[in-house]
Amino acid sequence: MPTPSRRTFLSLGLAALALALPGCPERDALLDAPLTVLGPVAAAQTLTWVDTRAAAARVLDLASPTLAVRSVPVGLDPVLAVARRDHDEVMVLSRGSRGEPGVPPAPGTLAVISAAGAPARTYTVGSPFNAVSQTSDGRFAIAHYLPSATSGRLLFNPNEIAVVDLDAPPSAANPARRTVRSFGGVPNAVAFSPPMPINGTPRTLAVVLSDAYVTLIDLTNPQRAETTVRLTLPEDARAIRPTQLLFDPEQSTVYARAEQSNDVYALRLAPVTPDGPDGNDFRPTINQLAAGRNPSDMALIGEASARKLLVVSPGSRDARVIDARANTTVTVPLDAVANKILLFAAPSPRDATPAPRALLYATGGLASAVSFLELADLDARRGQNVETVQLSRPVLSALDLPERGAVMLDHTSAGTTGQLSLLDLARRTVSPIFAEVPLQGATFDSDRQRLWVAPSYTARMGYIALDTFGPGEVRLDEPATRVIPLPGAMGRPGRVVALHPASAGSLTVLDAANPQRETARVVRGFLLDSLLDRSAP
Amino acid sequence: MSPRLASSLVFAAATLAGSAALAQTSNAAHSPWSFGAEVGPAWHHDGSYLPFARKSPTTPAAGLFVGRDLAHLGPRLTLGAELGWRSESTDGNVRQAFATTLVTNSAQAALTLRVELLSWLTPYARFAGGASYLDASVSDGDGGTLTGGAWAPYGAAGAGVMLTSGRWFDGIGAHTLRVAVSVEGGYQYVAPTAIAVSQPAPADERAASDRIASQSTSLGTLDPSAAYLRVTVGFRF
Repeated sequence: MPTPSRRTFLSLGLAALALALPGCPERDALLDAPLTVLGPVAAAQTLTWVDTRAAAARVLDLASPTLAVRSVPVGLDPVLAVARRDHDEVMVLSRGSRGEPGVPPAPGTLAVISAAGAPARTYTVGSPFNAVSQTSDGRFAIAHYLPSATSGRLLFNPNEIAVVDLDAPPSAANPARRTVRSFGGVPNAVAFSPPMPINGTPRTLAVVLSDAYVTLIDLTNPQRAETTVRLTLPEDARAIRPTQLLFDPEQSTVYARAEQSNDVYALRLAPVTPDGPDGNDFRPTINQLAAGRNPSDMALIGEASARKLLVVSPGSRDARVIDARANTTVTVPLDAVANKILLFAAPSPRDATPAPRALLYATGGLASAVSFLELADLDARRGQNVETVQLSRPVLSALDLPERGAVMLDHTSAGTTGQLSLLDLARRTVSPIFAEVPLQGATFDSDRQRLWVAPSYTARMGYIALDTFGPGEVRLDEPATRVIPLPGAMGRPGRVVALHPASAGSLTVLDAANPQRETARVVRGFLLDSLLDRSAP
Repeated sequence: MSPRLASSLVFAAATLAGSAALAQTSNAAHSPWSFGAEVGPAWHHDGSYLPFARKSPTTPAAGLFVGRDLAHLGPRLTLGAELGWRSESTDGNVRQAFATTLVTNSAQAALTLRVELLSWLTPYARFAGGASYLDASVSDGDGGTLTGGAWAPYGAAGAGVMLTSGRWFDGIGAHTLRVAVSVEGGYQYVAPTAIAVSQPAPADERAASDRIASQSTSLGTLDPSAAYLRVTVGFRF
């Protein structure tokens, strides 16, 4: 018997098994991590989700024939994804990592992802910020902390910010990190001015809003020190929180409205001689103006040479016209309480000439009437310039349709039907336009041709053509949770996307100009795209 | 046909006929037909298989086969052929939300080269080729399921030993019927294959035709090649 052959044979078999067993790959921890996503964020004809545990953005290209998905790495621990204004890009703010077993420390980053597929730019903001504000043109962004934030670090400075020039590539000087001066508070929000001419040079200002003070940063000269303006006296312990800013470039004035304050604040930026190379060439002077009780909205009215501030104050049921330079106030009593202002130019039932007018209305179900205010000759006529229009129901919310000369009012409340109505600003008439659809979640398409709604209780998506106010609807395969219109470009038609509830992602894409079921497409599972490739070693 | 080639074929046939007479030394050689079932694990080594596994990517497999000895190539060497079907099934969980399953069905034809070492013990080598159908599905907790499948070429090479019983069934007149058990180890190659999944169409034809056109989603490329252990139990007759 050839025993050695058998032994050799068995040995070879066992050796093969021994080789096979250790060859099994280790299971990637990501496969067992929950799928949590940020987004979607629309940019051009893409939708971007961020898989927070995978630290990767999934960019779904709705213009591609196959609805291709692209994965783009972002920084560790992403916390925020927003569209960059006026650009087809998405910004993803990541907090980085403080270092864990197997995970080296990583700084916070701001990744900018192009919808066109260009390589992403990653700006190292350093600290684990959790908020981003940006200018209206998307040129600058400021990464900062929200006051309620916890950094997950042993120490952090809540007044630290990072100023990012998004038009410039990442460098040692971009972003610029700095700490804003504090009077004990932390930033609540950051707002940006349009170009404000100061000493003959337009400046973009970042205004950091904190409790009881604001901080002005000259983004055009980021090396210069910031300017902090207190809104209260040092001994005043009130938590006055600035919530609304208006910028008057022609008068170099910033108006601020604050919660817990019956005043509005006018900050006039007066030119001064700079104190050194890094000194500012402006200095704000503050003017505190009485604005009734609980002012809730404000708007600038009048020509640049005679600019005034219109304020509505629901607490005193009036509107006030404030001339900050002359320090005068005209009070206009209202029959109906108002907390919002909508400026428009349109004829009125008694005047066929389009003229600047204002609609004063109350959201939150506070009033069943609205007030039209003639802005011409208001100082003399006061209450005679007010016309009150009764509505059938209180207004919960409103959507401005300025191109159509109308406002869509949502009267939704428990047990009511016919919740929507259309207020014609010129004729001052109110018409119900359809029923049983709440206005929450309604979305205009990019060219404001249609208003889209997708009630979650039915597998249908509705729209109103804003030129005729004719309603229509499309039957879907399942209910939608959100509607996202995407603009057309480069010969591609505009699209509208209905998002469906599904853990792996599910949506229906329709032609925005001709929404039909026959030309729609459904794609599901795109959040699992390349799942097998990602788990490969 | 050239005279040289014809003479070569005649010589080969004569050799086979002669060796056939010599090869009747093992139990297996007396029963040229085989039929049986197979089970055994496959050890997948590529990370792309991990989403379909709970922990290690080791999957159970089972199958059926039928075979026939073709020729005796020498005193102790037998060439055989097999047709078989083998199925692997595995399931896993991904991202704490998705249940995954992968069923791989392989149809294969194989050649075996058997050494009649002892009357009851025959080592062999086996080479198989065919095609595999990879059937994947992903289900989420919301009740939604995505499915997709793809064909891929299949090949395998392995070696093992077969144990063949004596004439246990003489009492019932089945003189060539024997029980055969084999253990085989080897490697199966399945070409890396792109897997795309989509929402399955409803069973009802009317409902299916009413649905909005669906676009599939690519899960990526799956490499299902694996080392395997194959244990067979069957009959020879």
